[in-house]
Amino acid sequence: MKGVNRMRDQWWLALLLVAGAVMVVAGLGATGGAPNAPGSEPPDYPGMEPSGSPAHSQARVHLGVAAQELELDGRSGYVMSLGVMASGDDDAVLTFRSGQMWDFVVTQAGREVWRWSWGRVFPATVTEHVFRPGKLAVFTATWDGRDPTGAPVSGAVEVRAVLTADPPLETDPVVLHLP
Amino acid sequence: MLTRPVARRPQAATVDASVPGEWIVQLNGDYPVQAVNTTWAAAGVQIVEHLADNFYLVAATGGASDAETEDRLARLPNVVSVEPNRPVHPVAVAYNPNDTYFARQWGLTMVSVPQAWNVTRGSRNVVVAVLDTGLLPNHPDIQGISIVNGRNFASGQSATNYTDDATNLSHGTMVTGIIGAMTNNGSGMAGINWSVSIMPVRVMSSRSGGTVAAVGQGIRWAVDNGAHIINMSLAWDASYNDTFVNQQIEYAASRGVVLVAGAGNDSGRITMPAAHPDVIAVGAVDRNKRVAWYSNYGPQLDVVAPGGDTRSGQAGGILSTDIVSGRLGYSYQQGTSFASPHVAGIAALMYSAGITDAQEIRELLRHTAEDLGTPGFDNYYGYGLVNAYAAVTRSDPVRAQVSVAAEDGRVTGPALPQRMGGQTIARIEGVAPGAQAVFAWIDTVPDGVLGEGDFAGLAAVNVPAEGTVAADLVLALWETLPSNDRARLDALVNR
Repeated sequence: MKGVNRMRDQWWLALLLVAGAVMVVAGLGATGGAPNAPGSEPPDYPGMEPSGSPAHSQARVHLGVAAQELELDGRSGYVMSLGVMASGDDDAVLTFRSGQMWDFVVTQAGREVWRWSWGRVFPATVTEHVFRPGKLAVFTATWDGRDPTGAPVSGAVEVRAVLTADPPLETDPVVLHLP
Repeated sequence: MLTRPVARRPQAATVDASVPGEWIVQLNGDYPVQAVNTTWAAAGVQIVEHLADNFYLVAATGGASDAETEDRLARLPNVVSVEPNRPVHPVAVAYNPNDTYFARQWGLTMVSVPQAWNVTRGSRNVVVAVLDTGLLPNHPDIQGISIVNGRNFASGQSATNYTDDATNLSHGTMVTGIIGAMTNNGSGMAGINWSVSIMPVRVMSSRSGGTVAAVGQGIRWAVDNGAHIINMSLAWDASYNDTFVNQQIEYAASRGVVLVAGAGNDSGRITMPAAHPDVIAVGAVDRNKRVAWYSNYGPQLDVVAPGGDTRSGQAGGILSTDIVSGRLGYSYQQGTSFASPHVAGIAALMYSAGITDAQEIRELLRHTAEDLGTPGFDNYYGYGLVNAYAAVTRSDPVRAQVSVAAEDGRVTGPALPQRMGGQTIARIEGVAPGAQAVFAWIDTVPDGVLGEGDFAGLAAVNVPAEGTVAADLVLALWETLPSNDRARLDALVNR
């Protein structure tokens, strides 16, 4: 089993860095939905300072997502990986509003069918994380191919990864074909 | 007999009859509590707490009279002296401990914890469950505190292993330190409780979080295993509506357990579990008492507490026990995660002071809070900034005596105020029209005189022709009132 795990780790990295990965450069003004988007009501309190960390808002990182079916011991699942790396010569320091740093979202014909963070809980602490140039940080999750009701999903789906920083950064989608 | 380092204590506490079944005992050395208790098993006494140096708080465990037990204690080997423990009436002078980093813990001073320590410093009989990432029990400022059996409901570890596997930022250890790190031990930080029992319930991993189901299991386990208070410095999207966890929260509330949670850090709507009506929702303020930039808000918010802001420097954060690059130490952090244990810690102090009804604890936390922002309740500060001293002394404005004073010195009243929404209103009839002063006070230090340690307020009003005064009462600690207000109140109340 250890051998299988090692092979799987190598496979993720290879997938991210070579063939299946979609790389984007994200930074100030990047778009993407926050997995726990705050509500629009009530309006900002007049005395509150703007949210976010202005000193770090220029930080730029490369994001990449990969997703592929993996079979182990007769059971199949879908492995998703988000790779993050500082895009310039300097460290990229990003602020996160909770212990959650990443998310994966699967949609089909524009409808969300699975989100990794759904039903998950995180520490309510604001943290900073340093991404270094040339050093790939990889976050992974597995999906069993079912929607939240337990029904199997079939056909083509789009997978996006989100770095849940402030503001959140989202990759372009990759497509998976489910049987 | 008992001496402890006290930096500022100009006013002596009032003492009276001894606490039944409790003594302060000096031994001829510093011994492990467990070893002494094993030796003393047959003597009908047990060490409850190591106070300082060679001094221990001892309680009777048998049915003998206090005189018999005291006599037996005095004859035990290694015992140098025995004195009955005595209750202390509140004095509001700050009782500052000798912990190295205490001066950096601005949040404790902001919410009057040092004053509360003159009323109670906690009790190991009060159990606070910390639903979190586990904790690091070998941290030097944690290893001496009372940790009762915990549980792990997060993945990757056995059911009994509640140790946090973090090598950087042990969130659960930070939260635990705020509630009850070792205090007055000459090093490290001070906990809000000098004595408390922590029940570590691991429901998340530091790296990938946890599940809502694990939180539900953790709540149930904590309630069924004796927790009085549950702290949840964690969040999930309020749109995820889970029947199982809601039922466990309601089960806990039905069993009289106090539930406290951080409001979340999205600068938006309050997350779960804080959004549940049975949970005390805590927002965060910075060291200037401003709503923290990240703090969530909304109608479910109960109170705010220090959560910090590190954007302008680490010292603006909340200091607590942590692991940094694999080494046990301290760090500054920010978030409603750290506001919540301030409130849970104060609730534990209230519990140890004899306020044990969960609903009363919540009401007192709300109505003894320092009203900030819009008068009364508002979505950003809730009922205001918690105040530990006011809470443990039950200094709720609804208990205040309220009168109206004319410039010629004529006083109308006193009257008792009433609650109206989030405000406490006094209504006094038959007052002469014109400029008058409404004044209110609570004799918190029960000495019949308005002064240090009491709560009071003074406000100018213009009484209409029908002669009825209705005023919103905002009380503050005597020492914090402007000097001219103190002089006027002294003349009106202490005459």
